[in-house]
Amino acid sequence: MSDRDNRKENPEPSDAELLKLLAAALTEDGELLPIDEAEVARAEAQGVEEIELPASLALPPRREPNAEPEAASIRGAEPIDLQRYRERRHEQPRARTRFSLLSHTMTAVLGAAAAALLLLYWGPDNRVAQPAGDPVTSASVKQPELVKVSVAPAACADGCCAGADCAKADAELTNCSSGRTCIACDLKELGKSHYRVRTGALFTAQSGDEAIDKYPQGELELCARAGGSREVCLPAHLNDRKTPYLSRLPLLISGEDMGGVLTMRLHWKGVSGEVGTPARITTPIMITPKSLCRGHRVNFKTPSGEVFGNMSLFLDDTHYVELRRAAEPAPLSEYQRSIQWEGVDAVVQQTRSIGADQFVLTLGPFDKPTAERIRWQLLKQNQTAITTVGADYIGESLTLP
Amino acid sequence: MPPNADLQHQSDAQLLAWVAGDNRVRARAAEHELYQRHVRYLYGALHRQRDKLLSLAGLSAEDVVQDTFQRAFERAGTFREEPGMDAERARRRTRAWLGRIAQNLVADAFRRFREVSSTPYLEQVSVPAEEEEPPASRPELAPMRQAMAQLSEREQDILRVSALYYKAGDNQRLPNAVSAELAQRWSTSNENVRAIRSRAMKKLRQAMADSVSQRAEEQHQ
Repeated sequence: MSDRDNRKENPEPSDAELLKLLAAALTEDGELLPIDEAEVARAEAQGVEEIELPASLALPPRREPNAEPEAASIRGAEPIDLQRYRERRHEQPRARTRFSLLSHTMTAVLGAAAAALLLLYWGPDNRVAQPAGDPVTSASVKQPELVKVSVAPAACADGCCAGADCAKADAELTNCSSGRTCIACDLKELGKSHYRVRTGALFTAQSGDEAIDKYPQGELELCARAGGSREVCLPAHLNDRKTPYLSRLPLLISGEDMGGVLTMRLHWKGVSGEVGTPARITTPIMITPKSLCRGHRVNFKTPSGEVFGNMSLFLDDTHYVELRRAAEPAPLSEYQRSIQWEGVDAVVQQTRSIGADQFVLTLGPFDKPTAERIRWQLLKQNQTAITTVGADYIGESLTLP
Repeated sequence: MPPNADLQHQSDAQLLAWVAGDNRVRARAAEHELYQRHVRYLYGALHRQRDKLLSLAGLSAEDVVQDTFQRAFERAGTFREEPGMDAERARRRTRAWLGRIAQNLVADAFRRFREVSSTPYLEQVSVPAEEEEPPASRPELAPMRQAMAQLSEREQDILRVSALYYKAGDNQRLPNAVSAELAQRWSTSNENVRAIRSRAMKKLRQAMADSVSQRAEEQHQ
């Protein structure tokens, strides 16, 4: 039988037929999710449930109406008024070298200080939630007891390369502008952790200033994506040489992701196409003791290759040890006071959840090995604790008095 | 509200009815029980995609699990169980329902200009009943797998996304917003993404046709 005869008898499959077969094959191979009973049965038979559940999935989510409050809260941060910036810039001749070690360091130090917030008022509440989510009354909270926790990063005992607490650190890596005090040498260990990207203000160069002046009504955004992640945007903050600024991007990324590429762009809000992106940068961000200590300098370039401006960028730890959840901060404060903590300070974080899980008492953030070590220290002292990357945490933490 | 021990004996449909009900304490307890029953399955199913579709979508399995349960709890009132269904089928039906929600969330990740709440796919969570036992792997899928293995990584990725959308809503064409998003991620043009897809589909079609011809020849001989 000739090819022609074959084709007559077996017409080529249509797009729909091809996609149907492809979807079936991918589903059988576990690349698409099972969505009918037969597919579920096959997945169950393949042992899909024989997997260790990560600690971050220990609790079910809470129903709540807001889609992305963290992004919203960061978006809500007040950016500097561009018009005021333009006026001030013309009033004050500025140095051409806008990015200095001093500003880089100042940005980092003030960022660490910005983590502390004042407690204004907490209403009474007598419910405290265990990490498992079951509410208990404050009457059942344990009497004051001593809980000792050693938070020194494991790296400082086992081998370190940077930070003020690291005796072996080279002189140039002793004082870290990132605020870190001990950084492991082991790149594999560093790559296992998750990180959050923290950026400083944008220091514009001449072409950046010109672009801003040309578009007086424009609102500049900073958009970022790590690897193939979804792009997140927040108002770009221009350096005004008065107000220190740091912002955590709502990007939760793994060390493995960061071995890839970080893409950041400046974007005129509401303007599409190339003209809407006056500058961008695509760069590999390697996670090394040096980069974790000193941070990165990010140079934004225009499409023609001119430097638009630059900013500092740090990778923050984001592994927390969760102790309790509650509907309000008050019972968490009460619980915290009922225990004599030694070696650690607990903080309260707001979460995306509503109801009994809205606030959480946590330790951290730490790198992953440290968080795991602390969790086990707590468990051995009969305290409940789970580790989490804080994916549902909103805003800055509240330090308890 | 029944104690937790009693919750374990309730059907998924009953638990979902409580989740959708007005009694918040009972709803929360039911959510916990449902979560414990199915979270490991859903995480396991998603975990298998972590290096491919989830990575491409920029999602983690953990996030999709949490979002799926959240959406399932919000839409618990839409779940329907067929009466007289045995426990095993009922469990699979619930998991298929969860799988459809998760699949739609993953599909939405490629449509970044749309809010999840406005997606058409989330409404398509009804699960058709299946009468037969789970079939063995279909032999006609073997040439499809072989053909996929011959494609470039990018061609494979775009076909995965195409298959995802086909499965989510019988879309034979990749939505423009999705190809535009992929184009941006890959620093290429929308036209190029569509050209890659077209080329990949052509290769698949050719491979399937070759396979059919080969079988016909073998039968003829």
